[in-house]
Amino acid sequence: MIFSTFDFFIFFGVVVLFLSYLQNNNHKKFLLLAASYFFYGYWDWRFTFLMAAMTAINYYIGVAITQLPKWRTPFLWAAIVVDLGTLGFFKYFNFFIESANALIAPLGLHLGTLNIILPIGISFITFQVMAYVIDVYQRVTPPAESIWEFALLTSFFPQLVAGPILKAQQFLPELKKPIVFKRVNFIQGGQLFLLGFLRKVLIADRLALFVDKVFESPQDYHSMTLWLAVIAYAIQIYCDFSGYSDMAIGCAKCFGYDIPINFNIPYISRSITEFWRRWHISLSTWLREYLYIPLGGNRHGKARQIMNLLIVMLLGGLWHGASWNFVVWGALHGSALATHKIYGDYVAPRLQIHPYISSALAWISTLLFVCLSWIFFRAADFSVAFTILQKMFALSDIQGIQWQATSLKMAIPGMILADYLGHLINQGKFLQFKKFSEWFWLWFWLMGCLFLAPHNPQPFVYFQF
Amino acid sequence: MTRWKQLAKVAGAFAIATVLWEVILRNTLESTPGAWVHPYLGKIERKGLSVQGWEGFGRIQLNSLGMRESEILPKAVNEYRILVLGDSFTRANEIPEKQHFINLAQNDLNQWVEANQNTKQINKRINMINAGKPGASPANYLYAAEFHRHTFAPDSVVIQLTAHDFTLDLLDSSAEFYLEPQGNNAYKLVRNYQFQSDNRLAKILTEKVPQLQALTQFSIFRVSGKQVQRMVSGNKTDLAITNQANAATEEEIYNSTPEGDEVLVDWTLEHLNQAFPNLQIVFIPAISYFDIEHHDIRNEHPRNVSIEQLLAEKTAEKNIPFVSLRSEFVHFYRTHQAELSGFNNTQPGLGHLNTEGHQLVAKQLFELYRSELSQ
Repeated sequence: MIFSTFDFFIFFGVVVLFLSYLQNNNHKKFLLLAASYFFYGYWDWRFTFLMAAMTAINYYIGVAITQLPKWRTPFLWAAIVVDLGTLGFFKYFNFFIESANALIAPLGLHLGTLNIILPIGISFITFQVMAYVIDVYQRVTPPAESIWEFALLTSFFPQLVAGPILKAQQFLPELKKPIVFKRVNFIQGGQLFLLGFLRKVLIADRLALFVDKVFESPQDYHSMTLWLAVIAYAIQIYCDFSGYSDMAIGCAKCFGYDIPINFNIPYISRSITEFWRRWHISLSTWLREYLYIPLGGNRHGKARQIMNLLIVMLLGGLWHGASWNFVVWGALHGSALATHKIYGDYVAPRLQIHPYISSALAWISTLLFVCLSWIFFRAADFSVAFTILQKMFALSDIQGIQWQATSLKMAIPGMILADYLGHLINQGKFLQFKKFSEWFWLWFWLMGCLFLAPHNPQPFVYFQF
Repeated sequence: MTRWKQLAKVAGAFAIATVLWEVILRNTLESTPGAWVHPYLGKIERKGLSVQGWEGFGRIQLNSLGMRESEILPKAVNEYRILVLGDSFTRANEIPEKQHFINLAQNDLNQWVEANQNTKQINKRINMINAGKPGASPANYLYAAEFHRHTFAPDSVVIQLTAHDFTLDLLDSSAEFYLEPQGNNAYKLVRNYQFQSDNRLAKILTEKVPQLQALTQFSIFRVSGKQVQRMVSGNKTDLAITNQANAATEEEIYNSTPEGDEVLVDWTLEHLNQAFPNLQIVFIPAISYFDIEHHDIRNEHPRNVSIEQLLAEKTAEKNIPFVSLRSEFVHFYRTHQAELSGFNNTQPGLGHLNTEGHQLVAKQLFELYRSELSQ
């Protein structure tokens, strides 16, 4: 179910209606759990059983880790094997078989692939349940009080299929709060949802019309058109994913739950390290806490730290999708993080550049790198990615389509405005609907959605992960 | 009292937001001076300014006949008048006036006439009239043929055709003008007096609450109607597959090559040729640019290709000058890797002709009339 469709609005309205009718808080939470399973099953009901199984296994392993201290470590490994095994089977089985086939083809051998449907949001669900078990193992958080509580943590529909990845220590205390509909929560949550909706529908979906076409057959387009398409994709994926996150956080807020932000104006970053502190914060936090630090982080010297960064980003890339494109994307980011680390330690202190100039150069080079690396993220395969890069830098014919031919003229100011409004809302400065002007802006943006939305509601990009 | 005050605030804010959006939409997305029913031309727009920003952007002045022209004056003595009939490709709301193929061809022809004044027989001023009407088909042109001849007294008539004139529009009984098969390779020209706007909200309003029909003049009403309609119908309305197509899918329509097409094309050309003096046909092909790059150019919908071939054959038989833009479009695309259709706010390669497309049509029209007038 996509947030920006009628189906979702009807679903959400019905859930709110029933929740406001119920008095008992446990009943409300059970209803929310049932609604979350319905939300997930709306796409393919068979995978609700998979989610239920992952929930039960991880919950009882969490219980076992607490109650059987001697067996803590084997239980932890059992959970990791089950979770990564499930993810590996659904997401990576065919990928590894096909990669192996490419290697053994000269020997005349061939391994068969399976017809596997990738469960939507499997990567997010896996990381979330793994984080819970690891936190319980490390005694960072106590285990959930009941399986129902943990099931709701795992399946909470606003963030179920594309995050933010919730940590038990963040969200279990939230779930203990009673579900009470308050005007202030609805107002703030509603505004966040509307902001996400505007990002998704007015910016991301509109840019998708142009981006999809160009990435489908890049050989048909000029250098300049390809540059514009790459910039457009950078904006599209940001507005798509941050729009989803805003809508998820906004929905949760309506129920009275606080979910931490997932994006913090990433395109103003002046280094790739800063970018990863601002982009998909819940994933970068997960990777840092559950992969980078256990690998040793920066505690074993510079060389090891660089190696750890590369490993983390390679796996982070692979987490996004079963394709070598994502591995390359992760490797690029890992290399950039390592390069920035070396630069920050050895080069930057010796440079004498005016702070304004160095800031500007840092911002431009970071943005350029991020945009170029998105090519591997978006392209269907290497040949498409290299065709785009080759044509972008060959500048054989730079005329192309005019820059305004891409909806960028609407998308760039729209993105800046949305980031500014998001920043205000996150600071608690949202419309209170006491003043005339506040009502005006609500009507104005609601009408804007109706009048300017393109007619192709697109699934969120991150649903595929 | 406080509740009333709050309610007034909400309503006032709503009203101001509505007015502001009306102003924004009227100037950027859609504005129409309204429509009326002409005895020969059918439902046409009123005189005034029309704005559309769905595809490209256009602010177009319409005359009292709903044409993208200033008022048509009686033909001057030294005027060579060319009437251009066509559908939305000829009206080209999305193209600025100066870049429109009619304007470009007219300028080129007048420059050519001026440069060759002493050597050529013709030394008249060329005046091309844009009588393009969105949704029109040859049935419209035939129905209004006499009116056109008397009103404009054209020396020559250009009719712009597309394949969907024959595959979708001509036999569509929900269209305002259509052909009804009569057997024996004949057709009857029919006017559908029940024809109404394709904006479903406007249609409902007209049928159910005619007192509120004036609302359709407001851009917010029209735009929201279209948006809701597209959301509900999954954007099928852009492709006018109507009654004729009800029994078949889009693929079935395009992939079949009914035997009746030959008769339809023949009958239509014959009657157009009889109805208009010095007729010229300009054909705008629907090109799949993706196929040009990856497959053979003819790997398109077979019915479109068949219609184009039939038009070429039948016009040759009847001695009607015929120009298809296909080879020019394909050559241009292969040379410049730029599609001849698609705009800033649409997908490249889809929709109506863009400025480059208009330049190529203008060039072909110029060549057509240069050789015509040189003889």
